[in-house]
Amino acid sequence: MQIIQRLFAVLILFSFSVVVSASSVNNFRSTKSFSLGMRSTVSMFSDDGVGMGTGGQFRIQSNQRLNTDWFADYILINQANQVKSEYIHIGWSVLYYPLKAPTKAYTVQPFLLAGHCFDYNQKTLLANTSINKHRWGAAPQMGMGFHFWLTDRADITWITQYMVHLTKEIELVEASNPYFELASSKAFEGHWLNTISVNYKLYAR
Amino acid sequence: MRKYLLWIVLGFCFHANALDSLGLREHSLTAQLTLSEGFSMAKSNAGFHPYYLHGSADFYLKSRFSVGGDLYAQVGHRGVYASTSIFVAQQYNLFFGGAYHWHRGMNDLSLGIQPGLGLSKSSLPSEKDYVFSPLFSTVLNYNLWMSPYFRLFMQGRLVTGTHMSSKVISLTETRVSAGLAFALPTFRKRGLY
Repeated sequence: MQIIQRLFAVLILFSFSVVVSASSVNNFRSTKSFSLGMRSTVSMFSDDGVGMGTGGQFRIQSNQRLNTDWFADYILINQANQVKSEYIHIGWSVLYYPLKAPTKAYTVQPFLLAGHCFDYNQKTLLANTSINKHRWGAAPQMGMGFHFWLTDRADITWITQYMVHLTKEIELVEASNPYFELASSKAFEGHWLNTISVNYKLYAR
Repeated sequence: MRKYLLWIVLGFCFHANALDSLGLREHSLTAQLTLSEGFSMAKSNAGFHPYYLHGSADFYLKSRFSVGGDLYAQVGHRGVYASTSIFVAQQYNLFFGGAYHWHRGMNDLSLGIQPGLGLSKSSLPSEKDYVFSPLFSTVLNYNLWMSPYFRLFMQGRLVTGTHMSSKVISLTETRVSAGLAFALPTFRKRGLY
């Protein structure tokens, strides 16, 4: 048993003797960075109703004032327990930082954003899933948001933006045999998207 | 015998504490497999408790920030509910996100955000297919680091989402899990993360 005592004594001494060099690099004001993140989106103020989505994104920062956001989202909307509306957004946004980047954690960095995405929508009648219709389209988006910096590399980001669909919307025609059809004209409808994401700079310089 | 046991416990405690103060928890890769119970928050499914096989893996990019993924597979359910009610009979969830940690010695409390995707099937006999659902979850986790290689954990999670097949079912529920996780200290390549 003395061996066990000695072994733990060595273990304790080893614990105190290990020296780790702490990183002195501050990445808050990096001019070039690559980050990865996961995001959740709430879709509101659309004809479809309120829905929720899941997605991911990566960011490529080119200088201290500009960043780019490349994202993909899958959004599901329940239209009055009658129709299931699914959206897939694959796109990009440019983020402009009007203020200087912060230099410490627990600080907020606001930004304005504008961008574009490819937009897929499929609507399915819940009572009979064989009745459905889908379409592809394009959609520009514009909004604002902020990063809340947790460390010099990790942040929580909130984005609020309006996305306008440049395509005809799918509408349900309620008849004895209901069906979906494309609207006769482009209504320039869209949705108000609120997104929260967690991101981490994998590379910063 | 008690004396030796005390030595072992003290050894683990000092070791975990000392390594944390030196920042060695950073870059640890941890993994666990346990059982989790869910408590449905939908009025229509009140009293319905699914239980899951719950596996997760986390990587401490910084001592204060970790990224990780959680996988849930529903293995059954219990509870009192109307025989006519329709519930989620089977589901698989995959979450991925980040968490911020507050440390004090061996204690490690974290709050995380994990978006996810669910694959679920209702209890309707006519429904055979699984459907995808976007999910969002917030996670509160408490770890007790017994050593750099083990931690005891307790986790509470709030999941929100909707199952949409021919029946619309709320997937909003709280889940609790606890168990022992294994950790493997790793070392980063200079310049990365």
